[in-house]
Amino acid sequence: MRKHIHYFLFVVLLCLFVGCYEGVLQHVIFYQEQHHLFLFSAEYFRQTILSEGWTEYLGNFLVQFFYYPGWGSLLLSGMIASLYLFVYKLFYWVTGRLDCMQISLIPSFYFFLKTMEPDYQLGELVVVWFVMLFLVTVTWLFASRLRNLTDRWPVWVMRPYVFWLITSVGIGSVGFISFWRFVDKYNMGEYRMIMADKAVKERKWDEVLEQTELYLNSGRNNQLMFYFRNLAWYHQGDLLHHLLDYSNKYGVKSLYFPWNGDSRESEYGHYIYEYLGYINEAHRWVFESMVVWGEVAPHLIDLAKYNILIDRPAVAQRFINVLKKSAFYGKQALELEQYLRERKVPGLYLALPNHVEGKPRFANILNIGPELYYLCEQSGNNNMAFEYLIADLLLSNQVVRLVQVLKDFPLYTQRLGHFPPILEEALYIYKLGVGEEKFQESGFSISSRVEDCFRRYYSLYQQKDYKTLYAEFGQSYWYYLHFLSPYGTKIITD
Amino acid sequence: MVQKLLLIDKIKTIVVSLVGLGCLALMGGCTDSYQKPEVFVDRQPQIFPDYSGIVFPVNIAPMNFRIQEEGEEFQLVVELDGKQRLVCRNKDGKMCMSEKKWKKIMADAAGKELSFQIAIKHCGVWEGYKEITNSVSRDSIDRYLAYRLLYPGYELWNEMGIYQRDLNGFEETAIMENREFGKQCVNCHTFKQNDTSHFMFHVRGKTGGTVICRDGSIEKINSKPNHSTIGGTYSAWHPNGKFIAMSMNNVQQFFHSQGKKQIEVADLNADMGVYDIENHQMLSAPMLSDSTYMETFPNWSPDGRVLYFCRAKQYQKGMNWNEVRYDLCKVDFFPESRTFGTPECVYAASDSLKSVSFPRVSPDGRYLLFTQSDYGNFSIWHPESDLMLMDLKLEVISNLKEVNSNQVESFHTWSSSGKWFVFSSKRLDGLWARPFFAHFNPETGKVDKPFVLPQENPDFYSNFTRTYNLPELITSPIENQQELLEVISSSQKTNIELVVR
Repeated sequence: MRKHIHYFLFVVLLCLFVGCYEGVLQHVIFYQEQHHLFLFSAEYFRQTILSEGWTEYLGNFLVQFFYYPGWGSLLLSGMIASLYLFVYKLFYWVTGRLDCMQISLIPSFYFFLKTMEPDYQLGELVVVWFVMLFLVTVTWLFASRLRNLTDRWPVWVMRPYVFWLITSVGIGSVGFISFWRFVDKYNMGEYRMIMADKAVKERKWDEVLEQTELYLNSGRNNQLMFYFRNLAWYHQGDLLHHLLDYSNKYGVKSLYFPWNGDSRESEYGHYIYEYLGYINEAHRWVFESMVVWGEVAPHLIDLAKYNILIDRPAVAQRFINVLKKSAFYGKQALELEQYLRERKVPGLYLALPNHVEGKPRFANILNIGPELYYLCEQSGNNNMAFEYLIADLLLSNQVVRLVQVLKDFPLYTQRLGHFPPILEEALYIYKLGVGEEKFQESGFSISSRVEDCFRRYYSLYQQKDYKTLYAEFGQSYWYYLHFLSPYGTKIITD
Repeated sequence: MVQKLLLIDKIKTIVVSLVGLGCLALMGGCTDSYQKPEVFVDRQPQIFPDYSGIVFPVNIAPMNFRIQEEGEEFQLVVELDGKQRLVCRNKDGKMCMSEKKWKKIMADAAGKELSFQIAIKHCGVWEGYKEITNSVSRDSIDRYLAYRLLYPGYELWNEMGIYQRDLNGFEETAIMENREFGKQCVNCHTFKQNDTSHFMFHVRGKTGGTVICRDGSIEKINSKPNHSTIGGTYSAWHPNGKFIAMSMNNVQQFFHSQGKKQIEVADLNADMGVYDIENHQMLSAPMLSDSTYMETFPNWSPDGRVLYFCRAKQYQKGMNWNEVRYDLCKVDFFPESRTFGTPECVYAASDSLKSVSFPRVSPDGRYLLFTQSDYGNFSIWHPESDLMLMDLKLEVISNLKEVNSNQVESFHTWSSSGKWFVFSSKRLDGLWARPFFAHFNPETGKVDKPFVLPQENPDFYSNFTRTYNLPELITSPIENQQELLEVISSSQKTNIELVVR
């Protein structure tokens, strides 16, 4: 048993690592796969070797198998666990003794902990693995000669219980330290963000809500999570009812990313435009992201789809051609070619026609408000544009403009049905500002419930009972205006 | 003894395994056994790139292409003077000609016609197609092409570099790659009359500046003259190598909300000056730097006495961008006194609701090549952009229909002999600019059908997602990359003074 314990430990390590990569570290597998693409072409080989080196090339080769997360986990776990076997064998052949302290476990756990970081360069692991394989092979060739040498060294004859005691202490120590480092390093927030991104890509809105809720409930605050959450609520049909569920200090930035040249944001900014049907803007975001992060599958697929819709088939085909050179995206490439032939993409639509007459219109890349208004003007069916416009005006304190927009688009307003509470609360603020007579002219009404609520709100506010105020009205528009809005406490009138 | 045998056995096992793994069959490429066609098809086959009916220089790399027809097997025969000089046969249709054999053919082909005879096997029968005939000019082209490679993006950048390609073959080497200096932006490489002894480029980033190389000496300057917020943008070397004309442009990007056109790039304001390298002074004149006009894209006449440029009325807030149109202008320059004459309009494109960019005078001074679009000056994003040729002697402008397409034709430079020019075209797909070459006859003013830069792999352009920016023909390679890198990485740079006369 002593002589075969390393096989047993190898299997244990393998199962442990697979379990982690399939569970608490599944976000790493997903993130790596989405940020690397291996292509079978001489040009890719040349470009990658010259610009990034062999580690990147080999790392990308490994990561392509993450396309199937199960296989990817197994492969990665196998590589890391086999490092233990390699080191154990090397130790045995070189010293002629068994590694009873199990220090051979250290390299495996070291690399396992390294791979916890989603942007860890896996190429490093691959290179080390090959080097170890080479060393093991060479040592194996000369094992018998080495044995002749080591046989002359003094032998410490160990009793079984001593052996097992030392082994247990060794395993326990390495295991404990590794576990402690794992717990210390593990970033649950990062896990939730990446899993939320995955759910957005897959349009699994329930899961987006779950991940963002868990994230925000833990007391964390992040613009990206608000952004995802609002997208999910819109798709669940409840954006305006849940806009202020959490203390939103980002204002309109919880709805979209104003362009500021941030390379990290460039990865996510396109979602809202894609769902709005504002394909030119979605294309710009994804293209910028590709410039920064490289030709990876999500970018190529999105760019192919957008160019099909924008009626640039030759450009779409170029991205499809690149995708065809990968191992696992060939099927998707063929699907895209089918869309190309049909000139349409399921699940996507073009809100603004390609043919433009007259003066060209340019996008406002810093403020989405005018874009949303324009989208509403161009179509009577872009409900997302309308709801986001309402949300944008609410979050930016533009109550006066909000009332005007509700009047500008009566059909959209009618489709809202019974106004959500925050809209009524905003209208009440408007009423307080302009007076009863002018408010009557708007054609809107406010329920007595809202008036009663405001009296209660005002009373608590005057009493400075902020704890109760938050408990009862933390999700109200009035609380947002008073305490959270990054645009101050005043209503913006122009 | 036993141990030795064991060791040998182990080595054998490994070696055989490795050989087994490493044994990848397929020698792609061509066999050279000729198959005579049995039937004939009276049309030319589709090939990509389109190397049919073109004139190419005697010193160009092999014109590899793919036969874009269905078939079981493909054959190319290159004939010269009625003799078969090269046979290429394979099953995938990629015709990659041996460089050695090609050079031998070219050595005999100057001034003659080269014939491509293509045959395709269908259902076991070899069908011969109508021959493709190309002409080999006696005029050589400058040996190297310099260009920047980058994604055709907007604001963000990552990796980019300036490269030089040996047109005799397929070798491409880096002049500089920005991963070597913190991924800063590098752009606007400019050479003095195709000569690499004098060249310059801009670096934008942490250690940014304008790098100027003259006869081996390299200097980095801050091309924003004192109190100026805008630095040099588009440049042109004076033929005497002592001055560089520069426009200083405040460039803004605008993104189309809809339609195939993605972006508009325009100047909010622009002025022009001539940088005196030795005295570190930017010379300008009130007429070139006031707020009435925007001046850009300078280019010198071969004698250095006339500076051509583009000029438009100053953009005013509220103006439509499609109303900004540039005329072709010129101004005399007196190098001895470092003064300017009075600008005058050479071609009022705006009167015809057109706009001019990139004026380039031919080496003999007779012609001026420029890009014309409907408005604006950043023609690379205008599909309607076309190349126009002005005969400066006869004062006649002609549309170069032979080289223009329904996509962008833009940035162009002459070869040192004036018998070739290279230009950027997006005709292949509408997004990525590729360098095309055209033969020019200075005596007749005629241009021949252009061809795209040959690549070793004919499928190269179907997969390559970087754009070729600012292709410039140069007579020799740049070889002082290490010195350039040192200057780029250094934060030291010389300030310059603005002198308005």
